[in-house]
Amino acid sequence: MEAAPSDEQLMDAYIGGDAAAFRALFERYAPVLLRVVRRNVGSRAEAEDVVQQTFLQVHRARADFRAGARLRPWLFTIALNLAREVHRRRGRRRETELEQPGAEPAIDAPRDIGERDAEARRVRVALDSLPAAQREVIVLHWLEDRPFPEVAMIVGASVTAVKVRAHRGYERLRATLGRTRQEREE
Amino acid sequence: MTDDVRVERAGRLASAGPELDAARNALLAEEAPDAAALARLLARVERDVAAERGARARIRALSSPGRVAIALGAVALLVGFGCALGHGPRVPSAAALLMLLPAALLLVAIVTALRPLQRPALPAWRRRLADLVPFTVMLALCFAPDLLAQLRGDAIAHMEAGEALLGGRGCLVAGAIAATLAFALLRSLDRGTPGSTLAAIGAGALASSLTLWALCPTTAAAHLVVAHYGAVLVFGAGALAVSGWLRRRAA
Repeated sequence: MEAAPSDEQLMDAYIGGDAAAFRALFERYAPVLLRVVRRNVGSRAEAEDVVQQTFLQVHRARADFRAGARLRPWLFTIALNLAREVHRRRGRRRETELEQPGAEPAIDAPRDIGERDAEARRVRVALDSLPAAQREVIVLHWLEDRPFPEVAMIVGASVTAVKVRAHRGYERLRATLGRTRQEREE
Repeated sequence: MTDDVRVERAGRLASAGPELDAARNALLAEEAPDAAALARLLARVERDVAAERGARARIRALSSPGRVAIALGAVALLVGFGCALGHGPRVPSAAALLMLLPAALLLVAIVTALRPLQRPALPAWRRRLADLVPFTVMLALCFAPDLLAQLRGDAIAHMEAGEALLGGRGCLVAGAIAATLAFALLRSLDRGTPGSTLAAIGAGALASSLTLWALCPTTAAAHLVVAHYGAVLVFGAGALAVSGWLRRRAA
């Protein structure tokens, strides 16, 4: 059975005009990017907008893709840069705009959810409480199993800085989730 | 899990630890986006890609070094046009050497304005510095008329304040036009990188400053501040207002 083409082969094919290669890249990466971005911005709708923008940027930047480059860090870097912009813009908007009817809240409110979904929500809230720089590293390293050198390349910091952010982020996560577990048990 | 990640997990200094495993599993067990949602998202992306047509789409799809080269070439043409028309410093000359500082800042501003999204974002403090330095340096150069007069020799060093205001209209207009042309070109080359507007405004301001340097023989501080720096401020305020209005309209 033929091995699936690599990301870079698909990107080269797309640059050569193969639209199916772009679709294949989308199918391969859209789910993981949605997961990563949603854990950074909180809102499903905003995460979809960011991922939509990410693939448009990949299209626009295709002339920058060089032989030997790796596509995965490209995709994550673009997505995280756009997610940061969402945070920056959100910081300028008034709180009331997020509470208008029909507007999705920053963290999805629990509906009729089981314990596992409730725990997932608590983790999302705990992640949202982290400083952005720590959250990005935690999402990539802890949830997406990216090694530190790749995380460092994506976020644009040294490996040492990334490890320090991860260490501090894990400490805060343990403290926050431990606190909420204690409050539930009381 | 790849071997790299296994090695990392075994020896890493920063680790989640077993107490966070349950939390991780809960989050990962969330439902993945359904196929219909992904198909809708793909349709949106393909619509966006299909809409990338026309001259603007073609130039911003050029490579990043290519876009920077186009921007630099356009500003060089503006300044060269100014040199041909005006009374500015002739190359080589000591006065022309002074243009190297704003020229170097212009290169930095253009590279920042056209920084591609697949490169990690610059830290906020570096972006703010890159945005503020051009305006600070240009203002400082306005107050070095004696130095400029010495270097240029035939420059009109002194000017009455009233003459500076009235006689500066031409420079005000020429400078604002040069800045606007450079800014418009940079916005056309921009691929939608967040934060690039301020860098493009800085680059426009520097292009204006360099063009006026080439066109205008006057080195009196009053004229430089009112007309040359004034052109930069008028352009900058206008560019910020228009960019803000366009952003609010798009939101």
